[in-house]
Amino acid sequence: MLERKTIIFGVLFLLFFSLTIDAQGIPEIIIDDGVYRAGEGWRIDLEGLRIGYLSGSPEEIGIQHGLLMTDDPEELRQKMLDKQPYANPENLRERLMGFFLNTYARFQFYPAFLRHTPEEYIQEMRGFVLGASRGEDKDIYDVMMGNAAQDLEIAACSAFAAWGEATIDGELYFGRNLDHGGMLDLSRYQHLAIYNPERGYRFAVHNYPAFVGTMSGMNEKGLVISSNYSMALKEELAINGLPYMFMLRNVLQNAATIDEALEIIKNTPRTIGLTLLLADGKTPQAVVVEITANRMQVRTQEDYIYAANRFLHPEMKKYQAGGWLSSALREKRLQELITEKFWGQIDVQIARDIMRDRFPPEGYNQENFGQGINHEVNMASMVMVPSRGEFWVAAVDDSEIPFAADSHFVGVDARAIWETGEPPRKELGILEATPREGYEKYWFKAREANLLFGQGKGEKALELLQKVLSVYPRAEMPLLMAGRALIREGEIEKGMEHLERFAALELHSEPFHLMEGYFWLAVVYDQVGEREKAVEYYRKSLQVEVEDMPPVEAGYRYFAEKGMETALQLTPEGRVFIP
Amino acid sequence: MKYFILTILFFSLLCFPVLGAEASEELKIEEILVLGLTRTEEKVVLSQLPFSEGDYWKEEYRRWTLRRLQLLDFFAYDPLKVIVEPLGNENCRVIVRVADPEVLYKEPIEFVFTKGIDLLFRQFNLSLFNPGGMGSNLYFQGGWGNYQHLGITISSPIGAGKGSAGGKIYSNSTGFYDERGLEFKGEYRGWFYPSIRLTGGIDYRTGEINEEKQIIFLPRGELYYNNEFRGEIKASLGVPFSGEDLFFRLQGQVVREFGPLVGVARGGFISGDSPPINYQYRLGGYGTIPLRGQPVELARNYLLGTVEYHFQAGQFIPIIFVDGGWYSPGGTEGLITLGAGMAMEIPLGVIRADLGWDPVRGTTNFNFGFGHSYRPPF
Repeated sequence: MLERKTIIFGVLFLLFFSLTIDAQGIPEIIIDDGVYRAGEGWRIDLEGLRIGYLSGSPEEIGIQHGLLMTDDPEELRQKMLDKQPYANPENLRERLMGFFLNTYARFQFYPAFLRHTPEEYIQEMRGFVLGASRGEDKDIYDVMMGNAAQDLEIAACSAFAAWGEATIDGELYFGRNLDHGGMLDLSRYQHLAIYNPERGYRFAVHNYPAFVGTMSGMNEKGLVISSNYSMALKEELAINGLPYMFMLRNVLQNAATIDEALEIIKNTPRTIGLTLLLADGKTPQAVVVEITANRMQVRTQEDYIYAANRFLHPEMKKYQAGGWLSSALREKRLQELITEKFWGQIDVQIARDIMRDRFPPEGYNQENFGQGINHEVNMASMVMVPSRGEFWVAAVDDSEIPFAADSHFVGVDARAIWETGEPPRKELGILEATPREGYEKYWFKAREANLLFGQGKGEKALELLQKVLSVYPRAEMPLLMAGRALIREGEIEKGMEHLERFAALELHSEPFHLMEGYFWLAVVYDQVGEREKAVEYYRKSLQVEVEDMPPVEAGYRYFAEKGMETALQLTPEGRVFIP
Repeated sequence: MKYFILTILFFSLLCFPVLGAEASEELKIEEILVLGLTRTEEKVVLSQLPFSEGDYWKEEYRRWTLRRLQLLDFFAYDPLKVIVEPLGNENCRVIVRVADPEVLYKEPIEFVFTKGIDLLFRQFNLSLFNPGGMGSNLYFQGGWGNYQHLGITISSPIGAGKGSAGGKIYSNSTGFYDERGLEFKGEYRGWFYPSIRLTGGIDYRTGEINEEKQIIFLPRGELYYNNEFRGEIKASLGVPFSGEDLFFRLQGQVVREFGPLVGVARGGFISGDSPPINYQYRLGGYGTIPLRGQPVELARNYLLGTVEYHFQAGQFIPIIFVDGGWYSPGGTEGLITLGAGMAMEIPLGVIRADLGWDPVRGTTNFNFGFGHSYRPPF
């Protein structure tokens, strides 16, 4: 009997001890002259940019990450959970769907991600949860799903690298915009994390709290990587693989050359379609790696290379899925800016200017207010000079629409931090924010209107657009957007008038939008009973060649073809339907 | 009626083989990459591949590889792919993309669904998928009620195939016939050509059937063909050690699809006047030999033909069918079944319900099952 009691006591003691180990393993946060320190890690806010130094074992790094990089972990957690489908159910059906999806994810997706994720990153996630919860929790489910959720989203990013003849000093400059409409509200939580891991190379990543993987970063060996989505066919996707952000992290931590990085990517069980821009500041050289879950091809070029959101390698084009993300226009602009406007001059500031490009090019005889490389869902922008270990990041503020590339850029000497492990006394430099005046002032309004319209806030969008049009009556994109917004608000005649003005412009910067404009004109002519004119515009819409719209794209083409046969109608909410 | 039955048999037997040579591409395999393993050792997959580095790629390798990997029964349903990636120098890289599932299930919905069905039929079957990473699965079977049994089987890759050993370590059932005793099975299966699978096995059974002692040793061989048509031939020799006569069993099935039209021909034969009841064929019910307008029957010989027409209507697949044939001893005068049904594709496969009517006997029967009636023989 006594023996049994001893065993029970022993088990309880061990259980208690194991719980207190975790609580005791959480270092205290010490604030010293604006520097927040926890263990070997620290965090500072430098000219509006949060910089963290994370050092030690995977668990220690995770704990420092959880303690230092989140001021309000619960608020952040809630924001991430709110992005899940059926996060805020309004009825029993949605509640049941939410329960089913969550249960399924826990038993199917989560174990699959766990199986593929290196133990080191699992320990780091566990550390993060411990740190963020101040030792209260260690269930990594939400963090893992947050990291893996990036495999289920669609975003439109741009990146380029230029070196040799293209740049002012022959060094490699790497520009990158992270554009993600679904994550805009997380932009204010961004940070630059400088890692000093127990194993592997030291590296720096632009990131968000809870992300153990990354979408952009640079390591001490001068290797840089960033990811852009590229929609792949369904059969080229796999959920049973390593979430891609971990793959990028793996590259930064374990590859010193492009060849080593390619070997890691090749041997990773991948999940989705991506174009990865991979650069080595030492050689200097850069390549674009185009991948799906199963396939991989490498694109090379002399002196410069860029990537938007589509495959350009002939072998990979076969696996491109539908969905238009304005890739052709951004590629065209990158090509023009690098090879014509800035050839031989590219430095940090010009690289920043390229990421800030808002179209139209010089000599374009009309106000456009469209997107260039820069646009309204740009949530982060950065420039890296890997040969010097420089990491320049746009310091976004708390605005709902951050317009990151137009914010001021803070230069950080990552190499100095890797070497000393101490916070920088000063930034490398500041690149000023775009002044909000003249054309730019109205560009921000027009782009904000586009985002608001996409979010179903037509009235607010119209308000902004009218302001733009009152100053620039021939503004290309505002005319189109206002036309569409007016139709949605039920003001068909006014909508038609705006679209007619749009169609009558001499130049149209983006074929997709011209196709869109003709289509909506056709629809409004159908609403007022002018069938002949409607058919004419459906035909015009179908005749517009959109280079970067894959043939499987349904949307406008599908409806325009139907519109040729029968008059399309509008719902009270302004949506098209085939009667 | 004889001519009508013969017509059905004739149409269903239009399942002649069309053996076509597959075009080969002149790409040399420079590298083989196995991606996605987290538990299984790479050599388990490599041992199943019908090609190696330095070979020239042939398109038939893809199907062959997938069939061999599926036969092992321990990879997740998705992804399971063979990808050939040109390397630009007349060489290629072959990527075998697989994934280990959880040890207890490949797909959680399937697990819940099949366990629910098990419980409904008073049984419980559990598979452990490759827990040790060397490619061995463990299968446990148990049943209660009228069909009490307890069994265990272990399977393992051996060469480019799969061996398994196990059986029922206890059975006591009082269903169609009373059965008690033990049963051991050992077999080896493998795809030895992209379209041909062979199985060789030995069964040993000792116990009682309807309270009569039965000890039987049964070597067997099976051949499956799956290409433009599907076919199977199974042969076995029953060697009783309990006084009964030696018996020989031969069974076959051919399935051919012509668009929405499917022809199926099935036949079975057992030698001798009174072969053991538990080795006779069971027609109808949940078995693989349909008898859709009549009650479940035992037969020593049968020849059945089916012509079925089905088409896709949204999620549903309406079906019209005609079965014809004869069996002995109960149905030597021949049978015809006219029927209609509905199948539906769900994420786990096809569920199907149909109603068959025998105009000669005047009987009707409602049938429900998983998969099409012309389900693939393997």
